[in-house]
Amino acid sequence: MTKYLLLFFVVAVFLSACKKNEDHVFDQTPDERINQALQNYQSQLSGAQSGWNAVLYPKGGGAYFFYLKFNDANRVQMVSDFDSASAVTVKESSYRLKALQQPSLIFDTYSYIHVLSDPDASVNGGTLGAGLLSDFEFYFNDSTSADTIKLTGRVNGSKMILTKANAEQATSYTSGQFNINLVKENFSKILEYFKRLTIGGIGYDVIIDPLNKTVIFNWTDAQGSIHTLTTTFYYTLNGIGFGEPVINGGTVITEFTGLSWSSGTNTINLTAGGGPATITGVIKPLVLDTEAPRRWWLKVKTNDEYWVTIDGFHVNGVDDAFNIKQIPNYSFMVFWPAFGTSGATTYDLAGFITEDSTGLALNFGAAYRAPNFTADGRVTFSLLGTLGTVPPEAQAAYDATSAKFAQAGGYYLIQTSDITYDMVAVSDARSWISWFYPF
Amino acid sequence: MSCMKRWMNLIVVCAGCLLFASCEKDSINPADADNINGLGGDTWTATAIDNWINDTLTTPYNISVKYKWDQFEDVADITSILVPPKEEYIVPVLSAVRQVWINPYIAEAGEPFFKKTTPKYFYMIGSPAFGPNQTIKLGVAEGGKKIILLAINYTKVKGMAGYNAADTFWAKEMFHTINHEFAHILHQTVLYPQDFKNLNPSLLTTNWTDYTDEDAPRDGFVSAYAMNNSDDDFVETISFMLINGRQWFEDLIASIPDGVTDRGTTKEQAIARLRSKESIIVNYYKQVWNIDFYSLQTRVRSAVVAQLY
Repeated sequence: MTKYLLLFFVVAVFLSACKKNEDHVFDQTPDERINQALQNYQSQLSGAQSGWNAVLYPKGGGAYFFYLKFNDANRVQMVSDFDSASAVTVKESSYRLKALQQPSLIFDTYSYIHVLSDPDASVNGGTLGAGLLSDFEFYFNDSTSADTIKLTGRVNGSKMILTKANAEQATSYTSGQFNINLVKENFSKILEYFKRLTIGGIGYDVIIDPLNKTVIFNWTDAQGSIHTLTTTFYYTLNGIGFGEPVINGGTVITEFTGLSWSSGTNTINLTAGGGPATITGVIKPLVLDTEAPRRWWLKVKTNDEYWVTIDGFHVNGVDDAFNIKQIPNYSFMVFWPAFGTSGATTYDLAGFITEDSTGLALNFGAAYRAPNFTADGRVTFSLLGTLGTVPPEAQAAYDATSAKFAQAGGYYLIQTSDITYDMVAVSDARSWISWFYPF
Repeated sequence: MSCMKRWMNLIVVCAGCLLFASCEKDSINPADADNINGLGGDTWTATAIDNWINDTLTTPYNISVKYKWDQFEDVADITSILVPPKEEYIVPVLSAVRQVWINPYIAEAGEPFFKKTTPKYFYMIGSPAFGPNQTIKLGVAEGGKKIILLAINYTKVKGMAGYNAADTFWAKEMFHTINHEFAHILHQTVLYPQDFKNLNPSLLTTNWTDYTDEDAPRDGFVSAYAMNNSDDDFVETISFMLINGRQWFEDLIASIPDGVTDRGTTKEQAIARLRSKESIIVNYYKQVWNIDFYSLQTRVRSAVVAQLY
C-alpha cells in the first residue's frame, strides 16, 4: 500500500512540474509590434522633408509618376504625370496607415492616384468597371529601406516604388514646373517615324507609345545579335524614366534627361546611359522585321477581318494630313484584305466607314490588287479602282489617301503590340498609318 | 492502522498542494487592451469636413457618415471595383441631403420622429457600382440602419464649380435613393394596408429590368423598379412623388396614352392604380405618422428645386 502511495506521490510531483516557457521569439506582443511598425512607417513617410518621387506600375500596364508629400496629420499632396493638368496642379487628399494583414498605406479620399483605378472608363481610357487595374491601397514590402519604400497593391497587386526627393525636386513639382509634354515636343520635331538614339557611337531605335506608356528599344550588340526591349516609361521633371533599363554591355539606360532641340542639325541632344547622347530621325530602322508585312496582312485575312485606323495618314508631322476626319459622318477607316472580286481579280479595300441613319456603313473605298511582299520587308499596293461612289465632300480626302497607299517604294510594317502595327512609307519615313485590330 | 491513515492524509494534502500551486499564471491587465491596433475603429486627424459632419449630422441626429475608403466596409452585394469620393463633394452633397430629406421630415413630423426613424450610418463611395449589362448601382440600404451612397464624384449641386443641367441626374438619383430607403424604414416599422398589395399583384416581377421607366406608367407604376415587389412599389411611388412634386405626378397621369399594354393594362386601369397608390400613401402618412403628405411633398420638392435649378 505504502508503495503505491509513494508511486502516487512521485507521479504527482512529476506531473505538477508545469514550467512555462518564457522565451518568446519577440519580446513584445504582436499589437505592440504592429503599432511600432506603423509608427515607423508614419515617421518615415512624413519625415521626408522634401517628399517622395513615386512610380506606380499598375497591373493593367504602363508606368505613372507621382510626386507625394505626406504630413503627420493624414494629409498628402500630390501631382502626377497622368495628364498635363495633373502634372502642374497640386491636389491634397487624405491617407492613413492601417494594420490590415500587413502594415498598409491607404489613400482614402480621391486624388490623382485614384484616377488610374477609377472604374469609369471615360476617366482614364481603361475598361469599364475596372479602369487601368491599378491600386490605391498598398502594403509595405519587407525590402523597404530608409530612402526607398516599396509597396504592393492590395487588390490588383500593382507595384509602387517611392524614393526620397530632394529639395529642388520638391520645389519644382509643387510649383507647376512639371511639363510632361517636354519629350513629346522634342520628339515631334523629328518628322521621320524612326528615331535613332546614339550613345558613344552605338545606335538604338526608339519607338515611344505615349498612350500606353510603353517604349520599344531595338539595337544590335557588339557581337551583332539583335535585341528588343519593350518597357514602360513615365515622365519626370527633365525627361522620361524607364520601368526596365536597357542594358548593352557597360551601357545602362534608365532615363532620358536634359532634352533640347538643335535645329541646325535636326537633332535632340540629351543625357542617357550616363553620358551625352543624340536622337535623330532616320528613314530605315536598324533592325527590320521583314516578315511583318505578311504577318500584318494575314492576321486579318485569315478570318476575313480588317485593320482599323481613325486618323488615317500622318504626313510630315501632321496627324490626319488628308482630313479624313472631316468627311461628313466619318467614323473610321479600314483595311480589308480580299474584300471582294472584280472580274477575276480579288482585291483588298481601303474602305471609309461612315455613320448613317441605319448605323455604320461602308459606302466607298479604294480597291488594290493583291499586295506585293518584297524580300527586303516591304509591302506595295497597286490601285485597281474605286468601289462605290465617293461623295463630293469626301473626294479630296479620298483621292489623297488612295494615292498615298499606292506610293512608290511601298511601306514597312512595324509591330508595336499584339494588336497594333504602324505602316511606314519606305521612301522617307515621314508618312505613316497606325493600325489597330478591333476584334 | 491509524498511523497509516495519517500518512495517507498527509500525502494527499502534499500532492494536492503540488497539483494546484505549481502553475502560476500572469493576470490580465485591462490596460493592455489599449495597445490593440484598430480597437475602437479607425482614427485620423479631424479636418473641417469631419467637424462639419460631427456638428451637422452626428451631434444633432446621431447619424454617422464615413467618406474615407475602408476595404472592409460592408457594401452589401456590390462586388464591382470602386473608388473613394472626392473631398470637395462631401459637404455640398450632405448639405443637400439635409435640405431635401432631413429638414422637410423634421418640419412636418418633428425631431423625435426623425431621430427615432432615421438610418444611423451613411457610407459614401466616389464611383457608381458598374454591374453587368451596362447597369449601374447608385445606392444601397442595409436593413434600415445603413445607407450606402455611390457615385458621389458625379453628384454636383447648384453652386459647385462647373455645375450644369446634366448634373441634376446624379443629384436627383441620390435624393431618390435616400427617400426610397427612408420609406422602406417607415413601412418596415408599420406596414402599409393590405389594399396596396392587392392593387396589381400579377404585374410584379423580378424581371423588372425588361421594362423601361417610360413604359412603367402605362402599367400603373412610377418606375420600372417599382414592379420589383409591393414594398418597392410603395417606396418608389413615395420617393418619386416627393422628389418630383405633385405637378409631376399629375403630368405623369395625364401623359398615359390610350391603348392596352402587353400585359393587358388599359389606360383607365393604369390611372386608377396610380390614383389608388397616391391615396393609400397619403392616408398611410396621415394615420400612421400624422404627416400631411402633400405638405411634405411641397417642402421636399421646393428643396430639390432650390438645390438644382
